[in-house]
Amino acid sequence: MAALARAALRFLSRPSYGCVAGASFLQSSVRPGLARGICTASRLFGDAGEKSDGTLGAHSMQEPQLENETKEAKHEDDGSRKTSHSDDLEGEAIAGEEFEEQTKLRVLNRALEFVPEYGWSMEALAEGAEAEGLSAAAAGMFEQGAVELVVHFVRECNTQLRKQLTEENARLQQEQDEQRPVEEFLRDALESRLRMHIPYMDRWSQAMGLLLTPQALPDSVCLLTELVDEIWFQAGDRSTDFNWYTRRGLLAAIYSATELVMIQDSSEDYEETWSFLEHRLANASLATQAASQVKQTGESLVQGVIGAAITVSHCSAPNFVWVPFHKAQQKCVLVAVS
Amino acid sequence: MCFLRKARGVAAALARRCLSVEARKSNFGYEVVTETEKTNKVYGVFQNVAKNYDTMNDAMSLGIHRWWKDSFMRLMNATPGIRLLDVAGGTGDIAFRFLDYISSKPHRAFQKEEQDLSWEEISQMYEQREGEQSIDKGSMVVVCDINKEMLHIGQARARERTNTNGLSWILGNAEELPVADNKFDIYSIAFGIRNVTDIPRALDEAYRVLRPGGRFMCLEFSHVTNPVVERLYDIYSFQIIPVLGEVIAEDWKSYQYLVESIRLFPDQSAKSRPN
Repeated sequence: MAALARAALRFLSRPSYGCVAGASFLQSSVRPGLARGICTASRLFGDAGEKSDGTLGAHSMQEPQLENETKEAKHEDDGSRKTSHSDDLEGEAIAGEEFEEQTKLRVLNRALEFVPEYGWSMEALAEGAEAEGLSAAAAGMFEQGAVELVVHFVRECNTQLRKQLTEENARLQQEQDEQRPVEEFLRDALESRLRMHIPYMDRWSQAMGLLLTPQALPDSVCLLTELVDEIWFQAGDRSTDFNWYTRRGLLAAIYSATELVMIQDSSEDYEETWSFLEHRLANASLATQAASQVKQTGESLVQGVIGAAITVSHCSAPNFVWVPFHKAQQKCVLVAVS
Repeated sequence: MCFLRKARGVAAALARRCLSVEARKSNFGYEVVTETEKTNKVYGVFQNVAKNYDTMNDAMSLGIHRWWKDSFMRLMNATPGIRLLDVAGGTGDIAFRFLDYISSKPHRAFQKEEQDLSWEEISQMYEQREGEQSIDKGSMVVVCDINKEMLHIGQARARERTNTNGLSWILGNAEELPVADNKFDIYSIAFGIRNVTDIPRALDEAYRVLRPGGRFMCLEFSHVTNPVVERLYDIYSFQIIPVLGEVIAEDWKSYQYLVESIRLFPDQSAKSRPN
């Protein structure tokens, strides 16, 4: 979606004066997923190579490896089968895209090591590329630069959390232990997810800022919704009514607020953050429980509404207290305290 | 006797075949010429045009080529330490922009991150800026051009600039670069590749001199997609630009060649297809 918008913007921004032909830039990459999808679609309609993203730079870089790959594939195939030239090209295009994706992942993972020093930036990506044995110019593969690095990291964290929770649930099922109370489960899930930020805590405020930029917004919103959905699903939520939305909305708000608290927390092992998290979950559980158990009595409804209101007010307009934000620069920020 | 006649016949046939292999045809604008002729003719065009190269570019693109080159730089997004080879960049447009981009990067990054500084930190920053060179980590740009006149213009411009650290000039053919293997991080060719006689060879050379992970960046005129605009552009190209060439540079033919070479260069989709 973001890539389409970008492509549209790029097309529209091309000057269309009479004398200007439209300069063409040969550059490193289009978003691989989108490109692959478009490639597949165009192949289905019998129009190969419409949006192939093999640029000469990337393609010529891959040529030796590709030649080996296609040779091996041919050996494996039945020798009597004829492959046409266009099939070869398509095969090369697919192999090229996969190679590009793998290279991007390698560089992104390596660049994370340089984030504490260089921040979430093109420099970190360039250092990552150099560390992988590629030229620093390979960081130019990432059109959005630092934003792609942050989005990759957040996606990796979500994947790791999903694995963790799935394993835990499987273990509980095997041992036939009792399911933990929902609140405790949510607390542990959010805590383990937030702990993944600890190695990058000094630069996490920069990452949060990058996630709010327009080019990152679709991705970051998607990732947040995926995260809260995953956590609730693993907690056992199978609701099919409006509760689905309230629960996830509340959890997203709690997560965001806790993240903000965490970046300025200077306590031992982030204890203040976890206590903040517990209190927010306790406030929120009033809302969820009351909504599910309510026998339409006014009192429990009112209690539920108050619980939700307290949660939202603590998340969005907290009790203001000045606390140190950046130790080196002695900045302070208003923060929620409970 | 009959053997000698046969031998002469065979020799003649061989000679004809050799000649036809050597005299491969290429396009010089809409004119079909041999490849060696094309190289010489293109050399002649740029020799004539060198002094007014900027004016020529302004005429061809109504001044928008400057925006394109700035965009090109942003797309390149070079970090300090990058080595750039700018081919067919005789007058140094891309090279100078690269130097400016690299030297301004630390300041821009600094501005983005540090908003509230104490006065001590600011004074430290000034001391640092005086001490260090504007290019750190060994960024360098090498400008390569086949045409001496274009290089002279570029060098004259460089002398007027304050910051030329890491800039060097070499005379060379894009099809046979006088550069060792795996040397550069970025190979750029701006408005030059359509003038190259044997483009696949130039691309092979680019592949050779680039490091693994290096980027090939090409900026070139291409086809207009909108048919209405295309017609206007055709009129402008064929009726107005050569006249301007005659008026500004007293050289109708060179500008005719330049306009025709744009028409013959493959369009955007053909260029991005791997082949």
